[in-house]
Order: sequence, then C-alpha cells, then structure tokens
Amino acid sequence: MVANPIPVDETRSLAYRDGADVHIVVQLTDPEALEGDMVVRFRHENRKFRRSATLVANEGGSTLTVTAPAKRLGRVPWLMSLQTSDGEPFLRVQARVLAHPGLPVALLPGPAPRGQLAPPEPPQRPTDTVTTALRPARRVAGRLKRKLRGGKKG
Amino acid sequence: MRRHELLQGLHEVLRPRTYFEIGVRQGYSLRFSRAPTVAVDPFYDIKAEVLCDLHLVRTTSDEFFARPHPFAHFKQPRIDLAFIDGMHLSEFALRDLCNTEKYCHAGSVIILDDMLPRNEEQAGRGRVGKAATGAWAGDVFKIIDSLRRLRPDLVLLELDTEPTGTLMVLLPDPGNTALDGAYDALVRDYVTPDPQEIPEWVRTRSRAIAAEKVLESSVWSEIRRSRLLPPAVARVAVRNAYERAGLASVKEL
Repeated sequence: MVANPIPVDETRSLAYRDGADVHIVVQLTDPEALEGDMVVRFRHENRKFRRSATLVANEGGSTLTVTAPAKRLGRVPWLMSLQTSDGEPFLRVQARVLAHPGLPVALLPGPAPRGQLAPPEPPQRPTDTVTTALRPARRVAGRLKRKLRGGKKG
Repeated sequence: MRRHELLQGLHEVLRPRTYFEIGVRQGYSLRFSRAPTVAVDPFYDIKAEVLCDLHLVRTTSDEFFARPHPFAHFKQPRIDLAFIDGMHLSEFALRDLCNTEKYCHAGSVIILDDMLPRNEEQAGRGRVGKAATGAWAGDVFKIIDSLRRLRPDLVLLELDTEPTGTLMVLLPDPGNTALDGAYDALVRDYVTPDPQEIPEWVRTRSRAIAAEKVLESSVWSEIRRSRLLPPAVARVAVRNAYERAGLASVKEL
C-alpha cells in the first residue's frame, strides 16, 4: 500500500537560489509533527539522489529544510520524499521543485497535473522553392570557405 | 468595471495577434479571444464556449515555461496580450510575470489580476474567512512595489476593476533581467505569515484609475501600428505614445 503524500502548506513554503545551491523550505502540515535530521530523496523518472535535511516542529506541523545543487536539479521537476530514519520507507512530500536554468526557481505544491501529452513541436517554416534550390550550392560554398580558413591557419 | 469587461475591451482595442493566459479555470476569460491563444492551467475545467485557435496546456505555468518551445502554437513565440491569473501568491505571480515578459515586445500588454485587495481576508496568503467562498486576491499586491523599485522602465497602471483590482503592465522589455536577478531575495521577503500588511494605497485604491479611461484612450491604434516597426524604434514610439496619452505619467499621481 502506498501512503498518502505528506500535505504541504504552500503559503509558508518557498525555494530560492543561493549561489550554486537551491534552498527548499517546506511547511509540512502532517498532524504528527516530526523533528530531527532526515534524508530527502529527489526523484525524476528513473533518476534519484539523496540529500540530508532537517525537520523542525512548529505550530501547524513541521518545517523541512533541504539544499540541493542547482546543477543536479537541471531542467526538470523533482518529486521529494522524506525518510525519517534508516530503514524506514520514504514518504512522498506533496510538493515538487523546478530549478530550470534561466528561470526563477519554483516550488510546486500539490499533486502533479495528470494527463499530459508530449508538448507540440514549433511549426515548420514554410520552405520556399528558391531557398530549397540554393541549399546544395550554399552547402558546397560553406565547405569551401571552411577549407580555405583551415588552409590559412596551417 | 469588472475584470472580464476590461479584458474584453482590450481584445477589442488592441486586436492582439496572439493571446496568452495563465489560470484558465472554467474558461470565462478565454471567451473574448479570437486570436491564436495559449492558455495554461494544471486543473482547468472548461465550462464556457471558446471560439479561438487554442493550445490549452494542462500543466503548471512554471513547467510550461521550462519547455523547450512553450509557444510552439504561435507562428512566432511572441505575445501581444497576456492575462495572468494563476496562483494568488506573490512569488508565483512574480515568476509568471518574469517568464511571460521574455516573450513580449514593447507593444505587448500584460494584465495581472487580484492586485488590489480591500481587506486582510482578501489579501491573505491563505484563503480563509469570507475569502474562502468570496473574492480572494492573495498577496500578489506585493509585487507592485518591487516592480516600481526595480523596473522604472515599465509603465504600470493600477486599474480599479472588480472584484479585486488589476495591474496593467505596459512597455515590457524581454531583455531586462532585473526581476530575475532580484527574485531569490524577493521571495524571502514575500513569504510571511498572515495577516498581511496592506498598504493604504492598495486598500483604498487611491492610485488606481478607471479601466474605462484606459480603454477609451486613443493610444491603442498607435500601439497596433508599432508592431510593424523594428524593436528599438518601436520601443521609443510606444513610450512616446503612452506619454502623449497621459498614461506613462499616471504612476506619479
């Protein structure tokens, strides 16, 4: 049996970059407030990695704090699961993190939306006949240019 | 004026070549678009009839922007009119604005909803009390101050729309990264426990102008014409047009 994910209070949770790291602060609203050093497992499809984390009990649940290298997070959203001690099963946290380079880092609370199909490709540029006809000539000219440049260096 | 009337009016005066929407829900705000449209909502539940060439995306706006070609549906990845009505939390609204602006041009118009809450319940990060079933703005109003401070190049118009006020962002600049650079510090300031402190000018809407006045402006034909100009020329032309129309100086009131 799969346990229900631990609910998250999005109004008190956040993620932000600090240098090469992404800091994640998640307010868990589980009535059984946990505390201490834990392990968070990040998972995207078949890729997984673990980071140590801390959990501090407070009003309304407990605050989970974990840091992950931005480079490791890459361009995809990661599910997070929490292990309270060695040998215990990982418990899903109802939030994901996305740290796509070039975009602000996002903590995504709640369940992942279902029913996604592959996103569409951009439309193909209409091919005009002149461009198509000139393509082989341009290819040859490019090759020749590169050869000449190489020759000059040598 | 209600926010949907503002949106309908903008579709009429701006005649956008493309329309982008974050936060679709039942599709009522999509009804006005006749242009190629991209609309994003992880849990949309369309009830309204929609009459446009539409790419409806079931994902979060952050994941949408992380795609290699988010605006693949458009001939060019370029937005003329955007309506941001996603999560009612300031950090989400700021990210949506940052990411949307990257696909805008000088003549684009961005509308952010829920910017002028009238009381603490409407302005709460949590949806409680009367806001649980009624009008809820959340704390997205916080981004107005950040925009005024970090992006003086933008023309920002607070509009007195019902139920929770809107912000019109004009003269966007896709090359400006000031907000992206400040995001990590801003998010730490934004995430604070309720109740939120609402500035008096937000609560009383003292800086807000009537949406009718903006829609009646003669500026929109000039904005449409600016789309034909090279980007650098268009930026100057659009700024001058807003100044002539008395819109660029409203923020000084």
